Amino acid sequence: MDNSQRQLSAAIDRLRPRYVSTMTEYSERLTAALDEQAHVGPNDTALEEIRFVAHRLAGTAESFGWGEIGAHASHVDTLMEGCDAETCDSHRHLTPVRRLRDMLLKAIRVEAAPRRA
Amino acid sequence: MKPYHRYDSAPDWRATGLSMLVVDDDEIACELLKAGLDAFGTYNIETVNSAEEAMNAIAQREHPYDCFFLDIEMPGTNGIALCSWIKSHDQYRETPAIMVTARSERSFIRNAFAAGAIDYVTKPFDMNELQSRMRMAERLIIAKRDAASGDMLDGTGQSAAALRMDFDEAIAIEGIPGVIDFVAMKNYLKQLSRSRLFSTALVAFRLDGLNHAYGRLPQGQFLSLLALATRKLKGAMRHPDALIAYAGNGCFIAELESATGLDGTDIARDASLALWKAGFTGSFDCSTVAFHGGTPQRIGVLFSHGAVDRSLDIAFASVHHRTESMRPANANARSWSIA
Repeated sequence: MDNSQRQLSAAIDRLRPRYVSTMTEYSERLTAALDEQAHVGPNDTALEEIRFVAHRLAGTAESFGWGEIGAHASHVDTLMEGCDAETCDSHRHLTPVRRLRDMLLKAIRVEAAPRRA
Repeated sequence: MKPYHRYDSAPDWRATGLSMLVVDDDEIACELLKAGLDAFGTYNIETVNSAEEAMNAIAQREHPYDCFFLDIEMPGTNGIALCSWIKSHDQYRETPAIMVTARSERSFIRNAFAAGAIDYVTKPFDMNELQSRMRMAERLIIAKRDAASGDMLDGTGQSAAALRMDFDEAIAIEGIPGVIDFVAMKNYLKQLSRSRLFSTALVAFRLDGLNHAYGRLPQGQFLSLLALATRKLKGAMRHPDALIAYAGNGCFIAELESATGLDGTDIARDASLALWKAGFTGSFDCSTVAFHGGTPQRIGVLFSHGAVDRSLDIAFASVHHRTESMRPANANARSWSIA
């Protein structure tokens, strides 16, 4: 590992705790948006919120080592584009969102667990 | 006769102390990009989280920034509109703007380059890719600084940089929608390749006789003639999404999503007629120049940077081949030799 890579890794390690709290916030926002869809019915604000979170995760998750989350978020981002309250199909559009939320929760749990030496 | 750009083969050096503005509404993405750039060189990097903040930072800055990294998808003013705004300022016309996005659709890529971006980086960041983009931007910045040193204006308002242009040098023609820098065109094609986008068509054109204008006209008038000819060529393309770049040596390259209905000869004829009709106010009879069009090259999957260069070579070779077999074809049927 050369000096620039070491420098970059150190910077990513520094940012990592902040990113984990952001992931927690994102999982909560996805849960709230999914609940809203389930209880109130399809609405554009909640769908926009889902797309916002997916777009953010698609751009950054891989850099912190969560490539699978990033790739799935990218899929959700693309899927949600053009999806509105009228066209939203619970199975087609929201199942991948639930999966993204679950992936986030799992990653957060793993991150919080004490590491073995 | 292969067009080249003065920045293509610049020596491998590293610039230090360059000032950059990174604009992204995602603070973490800003920090990641800053960390990546910091790892490659000694730069002065500022970050802001919206286009509006960026405009304020630019307006308040005493010394212009050397480079911009602009996220495309931001709430409010997006990165493409911000890029156009930045490029509308004289002091930033040649400043490299690199677009940053998680999206790789053709429309995003095209709009970014059409707005004046010199390159395009996708998220998540591939640090090797980011480094190579930064190196290219450094070369552009330093070339611009070199050209601007002792900057003097001639009677036509052209800078010293413009005065030193060679005929075989790619020239950035500004102010015409869809006309981009040749370096940006190459980067655009490479970005299409990285994004695995298919069905790109390239067609090359050559303005026969332009070398005589280069020899006879002051540089300012030559650039005006070149801009006029480019405008007429863009008009003759009759496709709003066509991107065109001037590659030097009187050669142009045009890119379209599809080769269907694209006929280089017809376009060249229409562009020539439009140019002759428009006339040129300078001391040069523009009816002595004429466009020639090559055979459209349909490009499928471009998996390597080398493939982009090869495709450009084939497109340029096509127009040269056609020109040889069709000469003379200019307005008053005089024969011109091309340097």
